[in-house]
Amino acid sequence: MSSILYWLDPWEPSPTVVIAVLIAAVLFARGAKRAHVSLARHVSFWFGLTALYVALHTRLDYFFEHEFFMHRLQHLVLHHLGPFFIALSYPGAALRAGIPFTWRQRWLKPALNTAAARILFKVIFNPVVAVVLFVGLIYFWLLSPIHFKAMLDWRLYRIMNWSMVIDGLLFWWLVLDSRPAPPARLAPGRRILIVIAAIPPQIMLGAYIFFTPHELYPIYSICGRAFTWISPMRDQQIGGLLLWIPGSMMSVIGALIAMRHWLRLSTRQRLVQQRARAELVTA
Amino acid sequence: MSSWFSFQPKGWFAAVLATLATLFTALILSAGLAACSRPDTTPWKLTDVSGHLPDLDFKLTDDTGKPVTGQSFQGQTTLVYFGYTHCPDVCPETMARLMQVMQQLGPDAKNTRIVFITVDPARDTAAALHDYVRAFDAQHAVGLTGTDGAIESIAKRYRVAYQMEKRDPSGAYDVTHSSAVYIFDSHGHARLLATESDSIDTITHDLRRVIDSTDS
Repeated sequence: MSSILYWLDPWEPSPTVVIAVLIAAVLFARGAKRAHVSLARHVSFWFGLTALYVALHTRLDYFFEHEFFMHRLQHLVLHHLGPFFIALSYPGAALRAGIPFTWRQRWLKPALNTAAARILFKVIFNPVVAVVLFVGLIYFWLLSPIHFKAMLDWRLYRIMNWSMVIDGLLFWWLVLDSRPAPPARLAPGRRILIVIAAIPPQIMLGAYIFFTPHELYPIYSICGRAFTWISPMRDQQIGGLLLWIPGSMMSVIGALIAMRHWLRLSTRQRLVQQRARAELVTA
Repeated sequence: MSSWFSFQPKGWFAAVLATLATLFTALILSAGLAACSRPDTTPWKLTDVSGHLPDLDFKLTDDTGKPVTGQSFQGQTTLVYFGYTHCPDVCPETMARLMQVMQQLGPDAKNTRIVFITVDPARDTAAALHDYVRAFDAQHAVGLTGTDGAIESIAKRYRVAYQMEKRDPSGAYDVTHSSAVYIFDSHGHARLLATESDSIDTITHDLRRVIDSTDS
């Protein structure tokens, strides 16, 4: 028990993380009762949210700061795994229902209807912007000089981690939407397209890091590594592999799920059309 | 499903441009963040960390047993190094190098201090630190120790990794730790990072520049 508490002790306490996770948890718990969320979706949401919390706010952060491959593992959770499972649980309706009715009426609706909000959604949910952001953020934070500063400066470090979480949620929410479009932002085919478009750049960067024969990220050698029994080059290679294989695997799984949604939606559409035709004939 | 290929060319092209522009601006901004904090535009030979690490601040005990804080070093340029007295090779080597830097600095070394912070407070008592540090440079070097928590918090502050390795049968153990030297100016602002691969001449050169630029 005490060892669990030891690991749960945040390495760098951040009220922002606690408040954000708590708000999401309370809204979902309140709203799930009214929004009829299935058990599978419950499990998916709580797993995703817990994964994000563990990756952001525990003693593991020491290892994320001081070992490159552990850092890649953290980002795999923050950008892929956590947001993936949260999006898979499709929590929008539950979260909305979790907000007290008067607040929804007075604040949420007017805020979402402002011109600024509409333009913002139009831009960030544009399929091309979504792919460029998803891949661009991975590349940006892995540029050698940027990575150096992000790992040294605690403010940049937090911006980096939050940018990964927020972008991960946006991207997977677009991809894993199971509804027809509209009301979904993207047509079912485009969802598959954007998730597949994000695969090659991740493989390329992962392979580049894996095959580079010199240290790309000296910050870990300068500040000291958490696992002294792993050589700097081996650390870098494992980090590259983590981006290369599990990173792109998540996209493949995402594509398969989007494909299933598409097939289901097109079957349903065909049924609706057949029924309409049959009604015409009998009439 | 005829609609899913129908990108409007103008719309998505503009969107790509906008996103790339945003990323590019972020890149320029972060580069600018590093650039604008130094008045002299020639690049440093050591790693410039101005503006990215917090000011010198801690509550520890020095090797004579007196409590010290970051404020105690106000007006002095400090070279902060994390190590421990049982350290087999890296620490003595680094201390010897810093000693040579002090010699090269000559009169400029008057207001410069080598601050040796132990990462092994269990074994490094004030007296042990005193003997160890003063053997290298009695004039400029000072050893600091403190509680486990105090040491951990300053190491965390400067992103220094350290951990106790397994004990051998006699009970002795190594502590692996960062070998970086953190250079703070006389106002306590973090300025440079020196590593094992930086030569004594390079450290002296940049250190003198920090001393000169802060005094004026």
